[in-house]
Amino acid sequence: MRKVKVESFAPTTAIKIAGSALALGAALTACSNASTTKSASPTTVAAGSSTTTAAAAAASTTKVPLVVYAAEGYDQAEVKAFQAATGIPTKLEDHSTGTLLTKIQAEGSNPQWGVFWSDGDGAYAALDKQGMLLKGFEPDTGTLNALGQKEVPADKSYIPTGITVAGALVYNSSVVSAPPTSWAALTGPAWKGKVGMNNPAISGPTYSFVAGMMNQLGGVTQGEQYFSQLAANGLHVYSTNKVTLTALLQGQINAAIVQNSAGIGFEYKYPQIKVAYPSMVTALPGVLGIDDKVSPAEQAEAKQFADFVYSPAGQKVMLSGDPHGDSLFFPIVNGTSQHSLVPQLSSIPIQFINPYVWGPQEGTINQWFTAHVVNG
Amino acid sequence: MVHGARGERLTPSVLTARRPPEQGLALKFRQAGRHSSVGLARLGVAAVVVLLLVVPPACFLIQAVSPRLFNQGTSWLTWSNVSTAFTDGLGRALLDSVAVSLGAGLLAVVCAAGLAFISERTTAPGRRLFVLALWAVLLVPSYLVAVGWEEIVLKSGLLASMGLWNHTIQRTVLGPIGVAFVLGFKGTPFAYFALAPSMGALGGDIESSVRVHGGGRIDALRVIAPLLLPAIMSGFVIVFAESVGDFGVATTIAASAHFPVATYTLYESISTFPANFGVAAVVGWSLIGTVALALLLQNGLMRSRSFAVVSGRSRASAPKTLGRVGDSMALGFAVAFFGASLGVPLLGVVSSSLLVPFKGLHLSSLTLSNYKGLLGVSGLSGPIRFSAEIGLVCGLATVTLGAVLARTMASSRKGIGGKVLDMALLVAVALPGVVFAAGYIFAYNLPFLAHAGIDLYGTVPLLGMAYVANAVPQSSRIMLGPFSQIHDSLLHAARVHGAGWARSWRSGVLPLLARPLLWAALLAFSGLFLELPISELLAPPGVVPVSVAILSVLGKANIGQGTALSVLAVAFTLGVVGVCLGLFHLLAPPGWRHWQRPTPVKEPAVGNDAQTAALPGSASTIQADLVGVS
Repeated sequence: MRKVKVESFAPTTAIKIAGSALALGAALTACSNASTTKSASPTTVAAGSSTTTAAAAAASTTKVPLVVYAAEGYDQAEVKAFQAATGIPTKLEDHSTGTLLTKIQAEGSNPQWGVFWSDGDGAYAALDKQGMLLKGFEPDTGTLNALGQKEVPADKSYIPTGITVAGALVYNSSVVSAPPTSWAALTGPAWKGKVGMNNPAISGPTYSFVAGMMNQLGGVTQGEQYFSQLAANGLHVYSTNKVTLTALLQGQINAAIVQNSAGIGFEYKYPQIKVAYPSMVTALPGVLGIDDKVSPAEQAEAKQFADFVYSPAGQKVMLSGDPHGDSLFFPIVNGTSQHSLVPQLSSIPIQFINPYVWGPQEGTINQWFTAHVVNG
Repeated sequence: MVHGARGERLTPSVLTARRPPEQGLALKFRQAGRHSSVGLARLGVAAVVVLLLVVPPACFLIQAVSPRLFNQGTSWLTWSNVSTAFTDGLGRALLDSVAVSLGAGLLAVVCAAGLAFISERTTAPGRRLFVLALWAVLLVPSYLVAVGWEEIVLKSGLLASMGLWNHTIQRTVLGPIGVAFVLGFKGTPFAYFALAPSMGALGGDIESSVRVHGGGRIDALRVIAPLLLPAIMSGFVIVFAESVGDFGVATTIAASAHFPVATYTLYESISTFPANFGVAAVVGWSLIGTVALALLLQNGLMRSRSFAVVSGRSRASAPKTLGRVGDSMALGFAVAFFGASLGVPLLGVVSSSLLVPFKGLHLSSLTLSNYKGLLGVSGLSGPIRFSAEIGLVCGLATVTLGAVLARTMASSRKGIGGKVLDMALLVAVALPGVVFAAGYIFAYNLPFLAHAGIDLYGTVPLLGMAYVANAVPQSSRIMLGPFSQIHDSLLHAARVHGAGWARSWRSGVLPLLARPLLWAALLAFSGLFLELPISELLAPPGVVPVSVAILSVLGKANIGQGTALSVLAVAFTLGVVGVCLGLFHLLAPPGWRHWQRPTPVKEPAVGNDAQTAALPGSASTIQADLVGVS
């Protein structure tokens, strides 16, 4: 029987404190006393609030809680393994990429995360431009293959950990005998009202697909024309992979454009579902970034976390933590073999887009998509 | 006029002269002390309201014009977010929201009026179950109702399995009409709880008065119907506000039907990267403006009216016997409503969790594998325990604060403070939880607060505060009806008989309000237990509320398992509600729970129809009227 594990904890004390604060209608001061439940927040631990040598030395020996914001199916297993291996107390915030980016942006100049790990490098390029990421660090516990080296930014402000495909064509083989080999085919009458995709304004990886289409078609204008044609042909837009794939299963659509790892997972669970890769598909790197604003102690632990991810033990957890979901990636660390369900990369027409070109345009392109495709 | 023991008139000066000077001074001090303690209490309540309900949303909403205040842009003052929001389609989304919310409000009022009439004014069979069924409607999340209908009408759904699929039905249900109906069904309990007390309480005395003066049933109806207008408007406005701020239907039926509504626009603005909090704030303001307009309209219609229709001498009306045809029609109406609002969608969801996909509707396609598969999910016990505990604590805090606010509004609605509070709470109903959640981050993660030692962000207390803030508007609105019906004469009578302030409330009023308070607490608990947006953004690292845990499991489980998990989660909350009601029935003092067995009182013949009517007139029956149960 498949085991799905979610994090558990002992909340009783916290609840008592919350209860006392709330039941008494405590005002802010009372609640602030109760905030001792926030056990040694990284910013309050700051023995190394200044970057002196002494502080850095102290940081290297002091174990503070490492806060990991992550949106990978295997993140919980990875965090658990890391904590067991290093003894560093690690707290996980496991949500969708969009939710985590909303938190990060709302936290602004008082960030609470030490590590951010999700799919799609466009957002990381934007965070890098805002000076929010630690630069110049690369894990040394594993070496990258040629594929992985393509994804390393010049300033080494983030760390690629694997690659998936942003938009594969997942179809119902019981009603589609010959899947299209080009994206242009989806604008034809045979596919009218039969195609669905995620809303890039809600599903982060989908933006990479949209940007990738614009990239291969020659620019934003040409890309907008393509998506306008898709919309005119009855494109269905849903919120996330799960909803879009559910629509595929329910027969609302015959083909869904979603991240290939989600499609392969569905293919495994529902044999009539198949995955195709029209020319060209866009690479979607899994990426890990370290907060530039947290204490040196937590940054040191974040580096250890990245090192662990690149280690054989960490790679093993990545491959096994979500066997029918995010674990279905193309490995980029030498010595790591891909999951048996994942096709050979050489068989896929794949392109790589520049996150520093397309990342900063995410807001305006999503805005256009919402106005003209979602609401159009 | 006050008279002394010898019959002489006592003026205030006489009273003062007869009192020893020290005693008078002591009295003044006592009064001053009491006034200052009342003032302090009011100040405390105001502070709690400001910190919980005003500051966080304000920190969010201010970014509509000043994004730089919270480092979300470069401008200290700009209108660009307004123009961007409308360029992005806010105008159409707002019109869509208003249209479906108006439809939902009207539908809810009509359904609620029908149900309230049957339960309050007739002896139709099954009417005693209405309230329980209505609470079930209230407790089932709107997204689950929407998903249930989808499972029925889609090409792969139950109708198709029975060979009854029709494209027109699918398009109708999964479009604006379906959105309005689902929201209307979900809102009917609110309208019912606003309408039923008035429907039950107005009749007795007033109807008797009309009949005594020679009026017939039609005349009585003509007198009573306008008196229901405040309740109708109250019910309509709260359903309107709930519908405008609804997220569940917006992200399911509406989102996939090319039918953008305002809350979905807000969701998109926040979910995209970089999140556009300024545009989201403009959407928030538009939601507020929409509800404020509705509220002003309501206040305009109800100006100078009072809700106080129940006192210690109030009598409910006699329930009418409808006859066989009438009973059948009443039953048919109730079955149709509860079938559409609860039965059909639950059938859709449950069948989806029990059927093997693509196998049609046969016995062989039934399976429990989805439920068995959930047995392999470990680690849910911690989140369930956490959410149950914080739901309990915050549910009690919500109902406590909600009761205080409801009483404040009920007793001072004509004052500026009461009106402002009334409007603020209703407006808060229209704000999605994500606005509160993001607002709490902006308000309580400010660096200067951390430096001042107030480090609330990322703690369980802040999560609890946000939970309470999100639940209190709805809770106080629900209790406003019962509190409005409590006439001060009940308290005065207790005080005249020597009871202190606390005992007057405990013995004179609490028994009448015990059940509404219990229901409000259960509703708050149920809402908090499965609350998602606030849990996602404000739960401290390492703390997993059950909604987040379920979402995590849903991301990995197959669709059937996901539906099965949703069914179990709702069943769990309904189970908790059932247990609490059972405990209340077993443990509550008799005076609190014997309201269901009114004492028949023989009344003299009224009007031309000389008859002996068994009219429930006890205080316990009034309590039943307060919660809409007879």
